[in-house]
Amino acid sequence: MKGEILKNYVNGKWVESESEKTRDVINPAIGELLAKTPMSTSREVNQAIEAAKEAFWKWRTTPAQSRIRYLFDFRDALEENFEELAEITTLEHGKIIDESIGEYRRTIENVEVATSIPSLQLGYNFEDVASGIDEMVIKQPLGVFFCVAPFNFPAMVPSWFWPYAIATGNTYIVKPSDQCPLTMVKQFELLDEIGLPKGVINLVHGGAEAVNTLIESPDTIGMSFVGSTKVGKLLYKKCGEAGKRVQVQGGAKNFITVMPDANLERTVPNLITSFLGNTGQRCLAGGVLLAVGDIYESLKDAILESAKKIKVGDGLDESVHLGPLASEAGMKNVLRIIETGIDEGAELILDGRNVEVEDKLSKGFFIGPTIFDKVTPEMTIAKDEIFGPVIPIIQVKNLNNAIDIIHANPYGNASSIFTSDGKTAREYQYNVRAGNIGINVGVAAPIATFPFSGMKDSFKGDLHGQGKNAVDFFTEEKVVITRWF
Amino acid sequence: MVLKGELMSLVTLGAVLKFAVKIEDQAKEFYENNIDCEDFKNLLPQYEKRIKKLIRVRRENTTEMILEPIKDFSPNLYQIAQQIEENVKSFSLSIIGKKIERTIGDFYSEAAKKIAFLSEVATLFDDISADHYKNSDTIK
Repeated sequence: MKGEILKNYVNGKWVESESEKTRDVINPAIGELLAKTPMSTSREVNQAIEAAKEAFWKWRTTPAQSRIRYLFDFRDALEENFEELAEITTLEHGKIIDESIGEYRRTIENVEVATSIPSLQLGYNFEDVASGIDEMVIKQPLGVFFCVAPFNFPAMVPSWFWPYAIATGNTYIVKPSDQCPLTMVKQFELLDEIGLPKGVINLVHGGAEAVNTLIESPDTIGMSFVGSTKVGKLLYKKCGEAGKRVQVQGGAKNFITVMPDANLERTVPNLITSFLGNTGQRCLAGGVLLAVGDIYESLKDAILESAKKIKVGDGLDESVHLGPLASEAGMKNVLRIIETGIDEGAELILDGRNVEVEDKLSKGFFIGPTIFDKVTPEMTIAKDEIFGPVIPIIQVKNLNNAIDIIHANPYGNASSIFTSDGKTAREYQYNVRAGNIGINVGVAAPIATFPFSGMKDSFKGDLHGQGKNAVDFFTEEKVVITRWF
Repeated sequence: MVLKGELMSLVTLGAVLKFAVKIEDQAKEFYENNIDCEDFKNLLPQYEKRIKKLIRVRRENTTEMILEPIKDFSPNLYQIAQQIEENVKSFSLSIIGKKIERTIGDFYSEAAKKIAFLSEVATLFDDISADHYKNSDTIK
């Protein structure tokens, strides 16, 4: 495997890329090369589009019950290969093994929900809309869809989309993260084994050229994207101009509010998971801790004490809580933001830079838990997504102040409140403009039957990934009005 | 899965469940090696079932929402292979069996407290703990 140039999976076959450009896939715990991702050319991407287009009609006319049996087989294959799959994700991403297991649980859940298509794709009808005239709605597939997936959840994020797309009768192209592609390569090996008809699902590695080709092709119908808001907005515009369906899940800055009546003993472990889990590289990660009123001092002390106990190291070592950042560039970016926090006057009360790890991990991309106190809403660390294990703490007077700070931020992916009071929780859920709200839950990650929501700059589009939203995204409703003479 | 590193402390749900499977396996191996003892033979079917259950729980309950760190839970008191090695020359098989069952029961009892935030798994651990204590009483 080491240094191997990965292949694309097109029209039911593994094919070598003709491209000479590659990106290194690095194990971020030890800094070693795992593989190389080819930057596929437009010609290669068009071949995948052609294969998917060619496969569409036959697949679309295959009964849904037959289509989903492939997904049942795939689900079983995921369970049978569960440990290996989780280990691959940890190897290329760095997240601890429990996090990879959790990611695969949700991946499997999405495949399971997609097997409900015979129920989820049902249309509806109504007799006698006028005398002797009936009317019905049919939910039909559209053609070739694709996703552009991120590095932070290389298994789960594609599963928000593609199982629903093919279950509803569309064909599909996955463009995995070029930084963490091995997870999807392994999944496609399993897909190959279960024998889906050729062209129904395809894997194309690459970068900007591949994505632009997918968007500009007249033969693709729509795109699902998860990544930065900057790139997401650009692609959203391009998709709009090209007349595509589109769902763009962008960046985030998730505010976590802790009320004076919160149960600290239960709250602090939740906060640690929220801010530091996946080494802070979650779009649902806690971004700023808003300590309301007189809980501020005790909360700060408790979270500092807990964060100090976090063990940093290789994600495959089960004694470790926190793995490396997924890339050197990601690590450098977080270090730069930490510097900015110091320069702008926040007080660094726990410094994760130069964190101690085992000698064999000396080339890894590690940053330990980092906590800033005396943060103000104007500071960069309070406004921008950090995507690293950093906890900025802001002391606020009351709930209204907290909500004002949340609403001043352009993002709206998630927000959580910790409180023992139902009325306060309801007020938060009612007023806060964020797509995923947690009430005493630090990582408000919806299960597969619910949409993975998002608002404001965190989401562009109408329909989200997962569940019924995904089914609606991948189908269009045709109305049939009937009268028989 | 081959995991690197020593289990210095059981810090995650996955680590607790993996350790549980490990000590169940070690006890099972001891009973299999001494299958002439009728009490041990009778215990084996429940071990098979329990190990499968634990592997399933590890996969099912390690979810993104609740990967909370676990504090101050050392596996040192519950090292079954080590306990067998230390006791095998001094005690009868049945006494070793009783000790094993009590130790594993103690492990689950403590584990249930440590993962109280996952009530479903905590209840399962309490039940398994009770089973092991009962086994300890049944070995003659």
